Amino acid sequence: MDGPSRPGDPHDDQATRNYLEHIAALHRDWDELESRGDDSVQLSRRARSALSEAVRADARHGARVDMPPTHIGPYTLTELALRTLIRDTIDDIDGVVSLRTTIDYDPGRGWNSRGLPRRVECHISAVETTPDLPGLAEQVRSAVRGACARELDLPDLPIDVHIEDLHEH
Amino acid sequence: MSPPTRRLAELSDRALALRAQDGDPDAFDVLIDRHQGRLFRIAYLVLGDRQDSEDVVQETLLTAWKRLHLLEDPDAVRAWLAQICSRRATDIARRRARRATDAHRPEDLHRHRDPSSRADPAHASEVNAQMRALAQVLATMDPDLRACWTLREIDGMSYRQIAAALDVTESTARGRIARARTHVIDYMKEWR
Repeated sequence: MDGPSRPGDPHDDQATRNYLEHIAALHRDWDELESRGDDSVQLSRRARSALSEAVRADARHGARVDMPPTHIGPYTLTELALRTLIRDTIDDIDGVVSLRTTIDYDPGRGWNSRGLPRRVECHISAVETTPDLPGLAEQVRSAVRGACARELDLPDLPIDVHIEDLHEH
Repeated sequence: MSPPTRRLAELSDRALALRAQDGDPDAFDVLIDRHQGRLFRIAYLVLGDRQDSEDVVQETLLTAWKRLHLLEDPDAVRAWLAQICSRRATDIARRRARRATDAHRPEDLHRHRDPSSRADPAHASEVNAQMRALAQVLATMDPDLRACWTLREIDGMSYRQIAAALDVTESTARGRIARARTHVIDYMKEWR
């Protein structure tokens, strides 16, 4: 057996059976308390809320990415900002959830900097009832390409789409 | 804009880990909600103290968020979180056990937490009574045995996963769990 102990093995002696029943009862009670939101078996609401704030305050922004200069001058944005723009664009499409975006860049001008984006690969999850996966992939490609052209002045950026997972709803 | 939390909540751990690696704090929030309860059980049964356990769970999840880019297999996020939590809790329990056997130095007197405070009724009421009773039994064992037993019997991990989480061989993990189980069974006999 390679899992936690479970009651019901006829070879167990009485003490072992009592033990297994006790552990099973603990699991049942704790699961019920947790599902009711009881603070005695989990983080308090205060701690839970502090944790969320700390996570948001400690986001990894990644390297600075060169963008095509505007008529006023050059500008950069972070890898996180670029990935967030792409993720939000994909999430707006019905039946699709963005999973991860990988981006190839031109060489940067120094440590912690990237050149212009050269290629984007979008890893997505699609609703399992999607009737036309190639059509959906094309819709994702078109939306991301459009967003990069419209928001970042990066027209004709090659966009690869990889349907990595299917989800239920 | 992230998809509604309800939609994220339907995603697998793997999908949430990938999105969190991509920088989405909302996806990591769902992972927190999904795992903080089980991490709390692990920490509490190793440490036997509510406040310390809460601190360990918070540290575990914040460390995971900071190091998420190092997680190579997003399918393993569940075991990875348990590993961070159990190692941290075991370190604290070991330190506490060492301190208990050291002669008290004067400078430690102010810092040392009185174990009897855990029997304080106001404190005790914070934690579920069954959990407290079990934590008291586990507190009589070596911290390494406690961690192995908890990951097996409470978190349902396999021997192989436990060995990886605690950086011991699989046969060591099996031996510790067997000893811990016998110990707990003996205590339960006394309850009857």
